[in-house]
Amino acid sequence: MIIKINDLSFSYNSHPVLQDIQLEVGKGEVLGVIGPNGSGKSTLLKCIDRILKPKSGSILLDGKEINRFSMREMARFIGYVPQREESRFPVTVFDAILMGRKPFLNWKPSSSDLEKVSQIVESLKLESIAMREIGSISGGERQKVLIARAIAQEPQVLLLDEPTSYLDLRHQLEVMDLVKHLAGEGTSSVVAIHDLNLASRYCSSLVLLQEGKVFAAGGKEVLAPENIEPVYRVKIQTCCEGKHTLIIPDKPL
Amino acid sequence: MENRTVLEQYHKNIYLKLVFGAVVAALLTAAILYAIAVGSYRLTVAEVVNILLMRDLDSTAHHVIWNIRLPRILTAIISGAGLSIAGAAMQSILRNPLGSPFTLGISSAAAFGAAVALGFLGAGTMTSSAAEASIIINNPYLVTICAFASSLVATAVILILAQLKGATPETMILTGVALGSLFTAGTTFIQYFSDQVRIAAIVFWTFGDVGKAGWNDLAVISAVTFPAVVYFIINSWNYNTLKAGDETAKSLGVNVERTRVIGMLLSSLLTAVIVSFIGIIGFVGLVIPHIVRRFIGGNETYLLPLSAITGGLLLLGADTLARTVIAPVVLPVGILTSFMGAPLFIYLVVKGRGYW
Repeated sequence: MIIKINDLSFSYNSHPVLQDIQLEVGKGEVLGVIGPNGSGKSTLLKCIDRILKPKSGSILLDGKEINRFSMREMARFIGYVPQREESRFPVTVFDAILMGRKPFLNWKPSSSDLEKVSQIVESLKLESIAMREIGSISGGERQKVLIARAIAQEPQVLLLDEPTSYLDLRHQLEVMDLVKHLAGEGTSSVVAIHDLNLASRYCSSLVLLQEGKVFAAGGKEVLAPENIEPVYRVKIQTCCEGKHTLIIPDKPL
Repeated sequence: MENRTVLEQYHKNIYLKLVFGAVVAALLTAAILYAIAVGSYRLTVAEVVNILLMRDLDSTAHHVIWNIRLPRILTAIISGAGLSIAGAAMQSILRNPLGSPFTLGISSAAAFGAAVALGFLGAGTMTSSAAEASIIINNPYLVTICAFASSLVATAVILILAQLKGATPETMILTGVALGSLFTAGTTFIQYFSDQVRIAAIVFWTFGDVGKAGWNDLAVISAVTFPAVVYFIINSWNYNTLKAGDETAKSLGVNVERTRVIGMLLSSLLTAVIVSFIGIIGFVGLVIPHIVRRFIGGNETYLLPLSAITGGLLLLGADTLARTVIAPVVLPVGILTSFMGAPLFIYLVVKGRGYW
């Protein structure tokens, strides 16, 4: 197991956000974390990356407790892709991706760092915007840049916080295809995601959170109406269209 | 080969930044030579070169250059560089375009310290002769030490609050702004209870003037500025990641709190030392990083050192102008930078900023 979470609890002040979470993520797996707003999806990702300190419980990465990692080791093991990022100062696309080499560089990027970043720029087809400011590119491109940065960290695990929320249909598919492709190369992902149809299509396993607790976990069966309807408080219909299961929200319950 | 093109674009981009640096350095060299030659005692370039090469040791020109103009010129350059790099570092560390030694109350704190020395501790007196009255600060080191101690208090309060409430940019900026007005109130209070001579001395001190510093003062300023510049450049990638937000920076392995606290401490110290010796020089720390960013973009590895050189050039230019514009009156450069800085900043706000 690349990630193993035992009895994880977290609270903001005294308000519990996560309670007794148990989770496992295998190598090359794409785990979709679903649940309504405020169910603790982002918090879970931030705990795994040690951005937030859990109240109790343990998180093991490749069998090693996360508190025993140095900050640099963590940054080489996990790439975190925030939901969005705002910079008040100009940053070029290339430099934004080059930040992903920070865990490897001392004070200045080496030529191999530059080489790696330019390969990533190319493989994500960002060449034409490489020298533009990230403030001047579209939301879809920006999301790709954030993922490209995480790829530059050469991590074992990617944590993506609602990577498709601000994207149009085509970019949603491109981004999720990229995550799937990386999983094929052995990079596991944990994806917090709102779109249940994308979750169903791209995630190899799913966990459904309700108010900070695991309501259901497993494969696609998590998306069955008996789980989704009580947690989201929405009446849904499912139907099969080719090889994909479609989830159609009907009305609030 | 595709790969090449992205790298080529990147290297071309770096090359342009270096060209900018070379242009500024060339202008700085020219400005130094001009500033040595110009003034109420005029010199030719040949004389200047002769004296700089120590070929002419006894003339008045030698005295003018080595004892008056050079310390003044170098103080302008080093102080301009120090204030600018401190401003650039504060802006990135606090992720705020208004970060500067001025906005964070450090300059006001220094002025308060100087006011205490001049108003209560009797460090200044006024002499009047028949022709004109002049203010003499008869114990400059007492003033410097008080100004420095007072700015350290401001820095310490900001950092202690940052430790208690979390080192977020908001905590630091809001604390800084509050401290700024507190210290300004303190200075006004002292002035209210001082006699005319002391008020004059306090007001006189607050006009930043690079002519106040001699070789020894310059040595102290340099001894703080140079290591600080090196430290900031070494940490430039930490600041690059901080701009992307605390969470991103943490996920990239940067110790956010420590980087921010040390960076603030150092830039505050640097400001405190400079301001204590030469008084308050407004706008340089705020405006220069924005000008440089307009030309070369936001990469800190280049922004920090180029802000330093550009700041040195600007303050030297301003001081030379201040010496000559209404000669024989020598204006304190602080007045001129505020005059130039305010419209320049408004111009940048209206026209130039594509980025905040």
